[in-house]
Amino acid sequence: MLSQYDDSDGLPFVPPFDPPMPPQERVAAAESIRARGNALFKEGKTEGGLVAYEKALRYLDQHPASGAPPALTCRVAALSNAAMCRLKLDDPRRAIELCDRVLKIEGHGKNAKALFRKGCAHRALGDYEKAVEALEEARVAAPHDAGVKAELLRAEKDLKKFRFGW
Amino acid sequence: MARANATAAPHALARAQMKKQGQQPDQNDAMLDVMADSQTVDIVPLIPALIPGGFISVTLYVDDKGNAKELPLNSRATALVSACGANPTDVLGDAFVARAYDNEAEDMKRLDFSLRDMEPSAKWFREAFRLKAVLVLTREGTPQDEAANKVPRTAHVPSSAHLLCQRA
Repeated sequence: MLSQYDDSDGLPFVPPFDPPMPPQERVAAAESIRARGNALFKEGKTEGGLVAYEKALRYLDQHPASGAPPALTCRVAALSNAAMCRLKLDDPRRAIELCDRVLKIEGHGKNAKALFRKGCAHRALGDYEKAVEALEEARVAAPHDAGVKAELLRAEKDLKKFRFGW
Repeated sequence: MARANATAAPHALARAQMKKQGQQPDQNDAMLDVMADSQTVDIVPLIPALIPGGFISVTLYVDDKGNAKELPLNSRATALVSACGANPTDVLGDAFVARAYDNEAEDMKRLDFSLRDMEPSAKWFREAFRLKAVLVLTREGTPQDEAANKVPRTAHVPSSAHLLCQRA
């Protein structure tokens, strides 16, 4: 059951609201939940990782959300890692949504990881033009990343095959 | 439903609000009086009554003239609405939460909403997020029953309860 991961960190499913948890405490809680997500992901528990990242986002998103730099850093990391989990769990649509949220925060073209994952997700959906577009942007943001180059080559090959049949 | 807690006459507040917005309150005095006297509530669905949720809804009721009456921010209800994944909204004044069964074919039945349901680990929060995920899949073209099966059910909806959530 996915709920086992939700409860494993000792924090409730949503942040306490009676009284509401102060934003600083929520950010600290989100950070510890995200760290738990990283540990689960490293253990190969992708679903557990995703549950933790989504929980961290619930803590960060509660109104009024904190716009302080630690909150933004945590939000970007949680969104980006959740996108990776979605990709691994064969849910590219959600992965694209999560990457777009990262790019909205960081500025379009500025987060190579998010662009890379967005490109992978588009390729998984068979949307090769968009995949090449995102991966080219990722290559500009991270020109020495071998993974980006390799994925771009694969996407270009797929696009060629799709357009010309070979 | 919602108790109005205005500290000043709603008419005066509504006029002040109109002036702030650059409108002429004097021209519409009668209409303004009618508006200020009316008691209406904003209905905020925290969980809408849907087939995949067994037609059980959770709703927050709040004075819809809270802004004009300059009611204080209800930080507990604001955080509650946010905890259900709703867009950021400031809830002003007293708020009530209620659970109901409504399949739109028979009479609506009120269900209990207990103090335990006001804990952040209450199962119905999971249900709110599950239904959101089901709705997204449905909007993308997945049939509703298939979408409901794709999103695991982790929530159990209690049959007992009543209301709550007065201004913190």
